[in-house]
Formats: sequence, C-alpha cells, structure tokens
Amino acid sequence: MPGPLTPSDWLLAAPLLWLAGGVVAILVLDAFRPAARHEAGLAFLALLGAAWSLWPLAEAAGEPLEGIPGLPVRAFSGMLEASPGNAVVGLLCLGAAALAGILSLRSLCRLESGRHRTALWTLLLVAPAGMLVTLASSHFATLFLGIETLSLPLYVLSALRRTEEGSVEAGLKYFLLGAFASGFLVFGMALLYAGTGRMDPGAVTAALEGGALARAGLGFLYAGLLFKLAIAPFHLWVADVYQGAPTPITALMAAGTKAAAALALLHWAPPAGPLGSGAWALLACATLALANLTALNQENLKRILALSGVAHAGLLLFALAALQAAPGSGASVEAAVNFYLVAYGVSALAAFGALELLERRAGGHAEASALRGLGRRFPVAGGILALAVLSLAGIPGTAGFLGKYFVFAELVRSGEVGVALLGILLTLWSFAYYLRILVVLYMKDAAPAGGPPAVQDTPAAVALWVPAVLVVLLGVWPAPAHLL
Amino acid sequence: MIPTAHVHILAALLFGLGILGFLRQRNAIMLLMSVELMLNSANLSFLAAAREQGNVDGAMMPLFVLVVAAAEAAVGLALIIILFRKRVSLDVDLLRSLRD
Amino acid sequence: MDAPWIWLIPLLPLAGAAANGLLHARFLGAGGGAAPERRASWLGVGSVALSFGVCLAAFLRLLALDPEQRVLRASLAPWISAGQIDVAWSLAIDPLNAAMMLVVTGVGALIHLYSTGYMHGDRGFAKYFAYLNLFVAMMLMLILSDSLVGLFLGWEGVGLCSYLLIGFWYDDGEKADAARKAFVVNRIGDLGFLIGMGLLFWQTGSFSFEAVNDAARSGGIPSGLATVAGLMLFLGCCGKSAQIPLYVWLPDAMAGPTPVSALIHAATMVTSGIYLVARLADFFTFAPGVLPVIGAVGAATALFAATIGLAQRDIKKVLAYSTVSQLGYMFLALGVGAFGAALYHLITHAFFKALLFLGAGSVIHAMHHEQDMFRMGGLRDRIPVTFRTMTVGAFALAGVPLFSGFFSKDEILFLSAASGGGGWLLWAVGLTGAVLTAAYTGRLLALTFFGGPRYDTRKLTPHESPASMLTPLRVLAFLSVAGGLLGLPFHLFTPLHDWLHPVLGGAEAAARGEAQASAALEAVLMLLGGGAAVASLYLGWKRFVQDPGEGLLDPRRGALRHPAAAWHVDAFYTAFVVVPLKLFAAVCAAFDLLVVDGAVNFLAWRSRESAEGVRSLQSGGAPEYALWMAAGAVVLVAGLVFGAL
Repeated sequence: MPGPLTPSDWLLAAPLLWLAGGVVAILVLDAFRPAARHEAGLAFLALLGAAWSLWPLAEAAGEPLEGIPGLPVRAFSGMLEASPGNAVVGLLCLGAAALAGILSLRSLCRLESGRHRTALWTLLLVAPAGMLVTLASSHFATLFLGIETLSLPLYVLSALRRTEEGSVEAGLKYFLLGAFASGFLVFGMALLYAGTGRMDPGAVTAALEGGALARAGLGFLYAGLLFKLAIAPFHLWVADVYQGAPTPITALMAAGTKAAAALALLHWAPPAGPLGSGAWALLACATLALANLTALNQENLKRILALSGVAHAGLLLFALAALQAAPGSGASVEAAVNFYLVAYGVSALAAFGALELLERRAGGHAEASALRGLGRRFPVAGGILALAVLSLAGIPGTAGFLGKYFVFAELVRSGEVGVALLGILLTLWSFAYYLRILVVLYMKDAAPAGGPPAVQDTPAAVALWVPAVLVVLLGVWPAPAHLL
Repeated sequence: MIPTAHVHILAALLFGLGILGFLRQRNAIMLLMSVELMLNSANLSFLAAAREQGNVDGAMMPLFVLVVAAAEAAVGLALIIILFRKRVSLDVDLLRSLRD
Repeated sequence: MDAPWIWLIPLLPLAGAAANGLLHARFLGAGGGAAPERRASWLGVGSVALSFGVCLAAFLRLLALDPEQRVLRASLAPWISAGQIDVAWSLAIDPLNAAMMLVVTGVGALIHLYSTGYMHGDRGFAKYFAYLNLFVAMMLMLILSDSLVGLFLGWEGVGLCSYLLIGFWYDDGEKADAARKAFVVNRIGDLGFLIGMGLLFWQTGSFSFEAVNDAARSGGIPSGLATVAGLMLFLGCCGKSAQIPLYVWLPDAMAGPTPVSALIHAATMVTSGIYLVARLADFFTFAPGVLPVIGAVGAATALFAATIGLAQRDIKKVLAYSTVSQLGYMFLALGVGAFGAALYHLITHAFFKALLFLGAGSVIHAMHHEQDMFRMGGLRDRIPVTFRTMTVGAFALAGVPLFSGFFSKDEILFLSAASGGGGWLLWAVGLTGAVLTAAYTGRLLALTFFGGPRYDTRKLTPHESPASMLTPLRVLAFLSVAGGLLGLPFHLFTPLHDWLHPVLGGAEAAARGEAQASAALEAVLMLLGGGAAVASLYLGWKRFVQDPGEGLLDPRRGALRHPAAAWHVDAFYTAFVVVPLKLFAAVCAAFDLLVVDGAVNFLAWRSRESAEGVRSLQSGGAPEYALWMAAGAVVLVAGLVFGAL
C-alpha cells in the first residue's frame, strides 16, 4: 500500500539498507579513488551496522514494539515477516559473511588486482542481504528475489580463484544447476498463483485444498527450495561445489545459505495435518542415509564436511515432519529449528575456517593425506577443527548435540517415536566419518609440509575463536539462541 | 479471447522444452538459453493468471523475473567466458574434475 | 529481594582461576621464579579475599532484613529450557547458605594465604592456585545455587577440582591412583544423587529447593517414593562426605598437598553432604525412614573411623580418619533432626580441623616431608607457634570444655540422647567415639611434640614455618576457641541457631516433635562428656608420651593391628567388589570384541561396499545431477497431484 513506511518496515529494512549502503559506498569510492584500500573497512562497517540494526528485532521478544502488536514482525504489507528467533539466524548469516571476509584478508584479497577486491567485498555484502530477505520472505516476490540475491553473488564468489580449474568448475556447476532450480521455483510460483490467486504462504494451504494445477505448482516450488537446502535427490552439487569453492566462501555457503533456505522452507511449509509427516520423514531419512554413505569413503576433508552439511539439512526435515504430525507445535518447532541452524552454523564456520588455515599449511590441499597429523603441529587450528567436528557429530557438551536434541525432542513430542529412533540411528552412523577426521588430524606420522610456507594470519586465527567459543557456550547454555 | 487454460498448456509445453533442452544439450550457452525458456514460460503463466484473476500481483512478477534473468545471464556469460578461455570449449560434460 | 551483585561471589574466584590458568602457561615458559609466584599469590588470595568481602556485604544486607524475609536472589539468565525442564542461572542466599559461604570464603582465604608459603618453589605454583580458585568458585556455586541442577554443577565441579588437586603431583603413581580412587568412589555416590534428583523432578516437576521442600511439606510426594529418593540423595552425600560405605577415598586423598586437605577434605567440600541434607531439611523430615538411616550411618561412621584414627602412623591419616569421624557426628545430628547443631559442628569443625591440617602441614614442612609420627617427637621447642596453635585445635577436637568443639559436639550428643527411643543408643555410640577421639588426639600431640626426637638430628634441624603460614594458624586458633560463642548451652547465647531458625526451625520442630529434655539432664551429660574427654585426652597423651607404642601396630601380634589396617575394608572391597567387577569387565570385553565388534565390523564392511555404489552418483557431471533433480521434481509433483503424499 502506498504511504509512509511503518516502524516495522524500518525494522526489517534497516539491515538491508546498511548492506546496500555498504555496497554503494564501496563502488562509488572505488570509482573515484581506485588506489585506496577501503573496501574491507567499509564492508565490515556495513556488516556491523546491519547486525546492530538487527538487535531491536531480537530484543522484541515478548514485548510488542512501538505500533506493532505482538509478534512476529510483519513489514511491507506482509511481504516480509520475521520473528525474534529469526533475528538470531540473521546474525548468524551476517557473522558468516564477516568471518568469510576475515578469512579472505590474507588469501583471496591478495589474489589479483583492485577490481577483484571490489568484487569480493561487495558480493560479501550482497549475499547476506539476500539471505536476510530469504529467511524473512512471506511473498513470492521476496522469496524469489531473496534466493536469487543470495545465489548470484555465491556463483561468482565460488569461481573467484579463476586461475584454478576447480574454482571455475565449482562456480559454473553451481550456477547452471542453480539457474535450473530457479526455473522450477518460478514455474511453481506461477502455477500456485494460477491455481489459488495468492502469492503469500496462504497459497500453500489453499493449494492443498485446491486442484491439480496448484498442487503441481507446490511440487515445483519445493523442488526449487530443496535444491538450495540440498536435500536428496537435489543435493548432488553440494560436494563438488563446496570442494571447488575457496574455503572461506564454502563456510559462508554452509552456514548462511542453508540457514536462509531452511527458514524459507519453514515459512512456506504446509500447515499441520493434511499432508502428514511421512513424506518429510522419508526425505530426511533418504538424505541422511545417502549423505552418510557417500561421506564414508571420501578422501577430501572438504567433501566430508560438505556431505556432513547435507546430512544436517536432512535432519532438519525431521522438524518439519514434527510440525506436520502435531498441530499447534509451530512455536516450539520454530525455536528448535532456529537453534539447530545457529548450532550447525557456528560449528560449520569453525570447521571450514579452521580447515582453511590448515589447508594453507598443507599447500592448499584438503586431502586426508596432505592434512595428516597437522592437528599436532598446529594445536589451535587443529583443536578448533576437532571441536567443530565433535559438535557436528553431536557429542554432548557442544551446541551440535543440543541442536539435534531439540529437533528429536520435537519429533518425539509429536508422537513420531519410531521415526525419531531411526533418525538417531542414522545420525550415530555418521560418527564413522567424523571420527575419521579426528584420526587424520592427530595421526602419528605427520605429512611433510607442502608448498610455500603460509603467511601468518593473525586476524583469521583470532576470529576463529568466536565460533569455537560459541560451539561450547551454546552447548552448555542454549537459552540465548533457543528461547527467543 | 484465448482461454487461460490454453495459455497454461502452452507455458507447460515451453517449460517442458526448457527442461528437455537443459538435459539434452551440452553447450553451456544452450543450457543458459534453456533456463531462459523455463523462466519465460513461468512469466507467461503469471501473466495469463493475472489477466484471469484481475489483479496486478501476477503481472508484477514477470518484471522481477526478467530483471533477475538478465543478471543471471550476465553472471553466467562471464563464467562461461572464463571456462572458454581455459578450455577453448563450451562442453559442460568436460566439467568433471570435481567428483568422486 | 533482588541483588544481582551476589554473582560476584562465585565469579571472582572463577576469574582468579582463569587468570592463574593463563599465568601457568607463562610459568611453564619462564620456569618459575619469584615475580610470577608473587603475581599468582596476589591473584589467588586476592580473588578469594574479595569474594569474602562481598559475602560479608551480603551477610550485612541480610542482617538488615526482617528475619522471615532474609533472602537475596540473583537470576542471571535462563540456562536450559526444554519441555518441562526450565532451569535458570540463579543464586539465592538465605541464612543457611550465608553461614556456609562465610566459612568457605573466610577459611578459604586463610588457606590460600597459607598455601603461598607452603607451595613456594613448586613448578606448578600458578596451576595450583588456578585449581584452588576454581574449587572455591565451584563450592560457592554448590552452596549458593537455588536449584538441584546448579548444586549438581557445583557438586561435580568440586569433585573435579578435588581429583585434580589430590593428583596434583601426578608424577607419583600412588598419588595419581588416590585421585582416581576418589573420583571413582564419588561416581557411585553421584549416581545415587542423579537418581534421587530425577525422582524428585518427576514428582514435583521442579528442581528448585523451595519447590521440593514445599511439595514435601504439603504431602505432594508419595511416601514410598520420598524414601527412595531420600536414600538415593543420601548415597550421594555418603560419597561426597565420606560416610560408610563410601568413606574409603578420603584417607587416600591425603596424597594431595596439605592445604588442599585442609580446605577441601576437611573444611568445605566434604561438608557438602551435610549442607544438602540441611538444604532439603523439610524433604528429609517428611521422607519416612530416611532420617533414622542417616543417624545410624553417621553414628557408626563416627565410632568406626575413630578406632582407625587411634592406630595410624601418618599424621595426616589420623586427621583424615578424624574428619570422617567428625562428619559422622554431623550426620548423627541430622539424623535426630538437630539440623542447627549439625551446622554448628560443621562450622567449628571447619575452624579446628583446618587449623589441625595446616598445623600438620607446618610440621611436615619443618620435617622435610616426613609424615610418620614415629619419626618425629620433641618438636615442641623447635616449632613453638605450630605447637601452641595445634594444641588449641587438638583441645577443640577432643572436646575439652570451653573450646568450640566441646560445645558443638556436646550439643549433638545431648540432642540425640534427648530425642528418646534409639536416641540413647546413638548417644552411647557417640560418646564412645568422643572418648576415642580425645585419645587419638592426645596420642597425636604426644608423638609429634613430646618425648625425644626419633629422627636423625644430625641430618635434620626442624625450623618454624614462614609468617604467611603462621598467620592463618593464629587466626584459626582464635576461631577454634571463639567459635564456641556461636551457641552456648542452656539457651544462654545462641546466635547461630537464632540466625538459622527461619530456615531450619520448621523442619526441626517437625522432626524432633515434642522431644524435650530438662536442663538437669543437659548438665549431667555435659559433665560426663567433658570429663570423659579430658580424662581420655590425658590418658592418651600419657600412654604415648612414655612409649610410642610402635609394637601395638605390629601386623601379626600388635593389639591395634586391625584398626591399623583400617579394619581391612580396602582388602574387603578389593576381594568382593573390585575383583568380581574386573572379571565381569573381562567377560564384557570379550563379548564386545567377539560379538559386538564383529557385528559392527560387518556393518562397516557392508557400509563401505554400498558406499562405493552410492559414490557413482557423484559423477561430477552437471547433466546427470540435473537429471536427478528433474526426476525428483517429477516425483514431488506427481506425489502432490495424485495425492500420494
């Protein structure tokens, strides 16, 4: 509706404005003072500003904001909708971009010319903006724009090491398959609109009561979303792209993209009841089983971690299954999903970040043979990777354990005890490849140092402590990310 | 007046063609064009449905889709150029260095 | 009322622990030295002393409040919220734990000060203070938490610190073994604690002490279940507070540095069990049959451990068994519903036993780490300050009239006699134990300080400890005398009881019923107890000052050979618990190796086989991936359209 922006509009737009402002500032300054190295500073300023402007949303838990009765916050005539819990996931996306930036300072930033740096830093701001829109989308337009805004920068960032074949291949593969998935997404939206006349999440409910046209549209929409979330059989790209992309970008994809896509799926999930939980549970189990099986014989640690991400996405679908089985469990399922995303996100950031540092010591290789015994030689990076792996495996005392616990608790509460047991068994199965990483890291006969000696990267080493500490802190004190 | 259903059927055919093209072609530019076909079939459906529903919501979506498609083409062509420089070929079947 | 600043009380020592931990890392590089030691001392002693200051402030704040309203609360943040479970990081200080926290931080600060002298020159100086500070923080968490979960966190935390400090000199295999023994024996108790906690939560739906006590008062817990839960919690107390049958770890725990024995294994941690029972006084009172068990176990432990104390060679072992015995008295008091008397004895015991341990430490320091009393003798003139202060502590322990231990122990014995029925039996056992206590105390004094030197005087010249060690001794000696003023008999002057009355009064009245006794009886019992103690102390001293009596301990013919071997309890446990368990474990291991591992290996082998098949999916070709996606989309659409989903 035309008219001045309401407080809630501002609330949800503010982080986007910060990020967009950062992009514009970098591009303009770049045009006039191409020699100055201002990009990183401006980008971090924009990310900080965006995070700061997200606080009011997180704080709004429980008390209605000025002019906004109750929660969640709806903005722009209902095109965006976010609850305080989503704000925590939003902070995770911004943090992921910031960490990717810090990890790039001494590596990607030094690759080539100034143009290159401009691309890196502007895209590192655009991607989280897309994530924020996606996770709050409650209209076809915002969902589509959000997904594309987060994907396009990642296609480019994946291929940023353009002299390396793997990086280019990863970018192009990701791009082609992503564009293919967008086709499904948009066509699904068109059919849903044709069948129900709506473009908000209500269309999903209406479609399930409506005719074949709308139901077909729903199928295509989910195909598009499940690609982003990497659910079997839409997950095959993940291992290749994560492996080929520069590791800081992989970290951003693992933590941010997954979180945004998962919350979008939760927004657009069918209401409890008509569909039943079977389909989601089946998808979840299939994804877990496939990811675990594929990860078992991998040689490349990045691929193992990528497949671990696929397994984690699969586990998330159990929450949707719980939502289907138990009407009225929306709020607690959402809390569980938010916490799960944050727990997985910080673990993945710590894991990929530490792996990046170790990789540099191993001459840019992430193969098990190249990383053998590096955990002993580099105790901090190795220790953080080991801790993150324990969290990904779900060892009690870490955030990852509680994330899994909350999801399975929802499943048990919804009455799906059998499914929960199956899921737990499948999760235990994954210990096999997590343990393998630990064994590789702390093997006795260390690999000889390969390649040129790596530069000392103090900013990255310091920044890595943040997700590492969060892994432990959220493991013993889940409340800050779970109650909201 | 063409019935809306006919337009949807046309859109579905175009969409199917796009999918088939994506699956059958090996040339990266042809893949990009197939995706464009899929996106535009959706636009057709949107516009037909908007005319039937009598609201502008549906008519607005194709604008967004076109803008995004343009951006996608820009990114895609840039990546394809890098590929061509390295391989002197546009065959996506050759992209197999990352695999199990 | 709300007082967020009370969080400083546990957080200050915690910060000290963290700072000292970092300092230790520097220490390792620098290889010790005076300057880092001074920094570690300031951090270690300062953080606990500051915490004591905050405790005093909290105490004064409580004092200013109306007696029935004396609670300070501080909720920091929610901790766990999952389903029904809702636990917050929150503290609550009421008169009961206010008394405890003053003892912990006050005595704790003195022992930290003493440690700066005792640990001087040790390679792990900063590490030692990191552990000790962490212990104080965890102990305060245990005491101040308002829920069973928070208490359990502290409970495990102090257990961990105890383990780390017993095995502080872990290069010595025997000491590392002692640490492991303490850890394992405590796990048995902790299992009971967890079961009890779970049962209470199941019945009351809450972990908070208030909710459990309220539910017990209003009959909200079925009596059978209350009994089981109470006994399980008491099993936890038996582990932590070293009662029969789980006391065996405490004598071995003397492997740690002596100040640790004073702080953890005499004054504070081992009293956690008493605190827990007092904390849940209402619940224990209303749980049928639990209090009598507690009283019986306490009395038995008091007597049993005292007999062993009479026949030890090692000065620290005497004190260790004495601690077990004195803790037995506290449980005896809890068992007859005299919660206040238990707390009273807890406090006086903290003073005089810490004093005795620190004194023993000073003796050991002077004797260059000789702990065998048969190799001492005649130290009276060599280390006069230690001798005088330790004598005060010994008199308090023996129960010589007008010393603090006399008043508190006497009150326990009188109240158990006055509780009627089996009370007289408990009294008789307790009095016998008290006589033995006085006897071994006299023996300890005689062997250590009197007679001629039984060590090689040419090689060793004992000299007095530095001031940093003597000051705490003097302060604690003063407290061991003045502590009696906390509760004089005949209701003359009872500040501690009046202070605790709002918390424990209800439970005491309910537990003791109308059991009343005349002042005449009190006077008679007091004369009897005091007289017996003095006489026994003198006889013990007299007997051993003339002849050390080494022959009595001879493992074949000596009169005291059985108590000297601690009644062979460890051998019994080894034969009937450890060996069968090891056999069982061996059988399990074989089963695991053959059957379980076999099955797992088979599964793993199958997994790898199928993994090879699945990996062909990851062909690397985008067209194939697209085909799978298209197929997936078709299945999704078909499922939705034809209603299969």
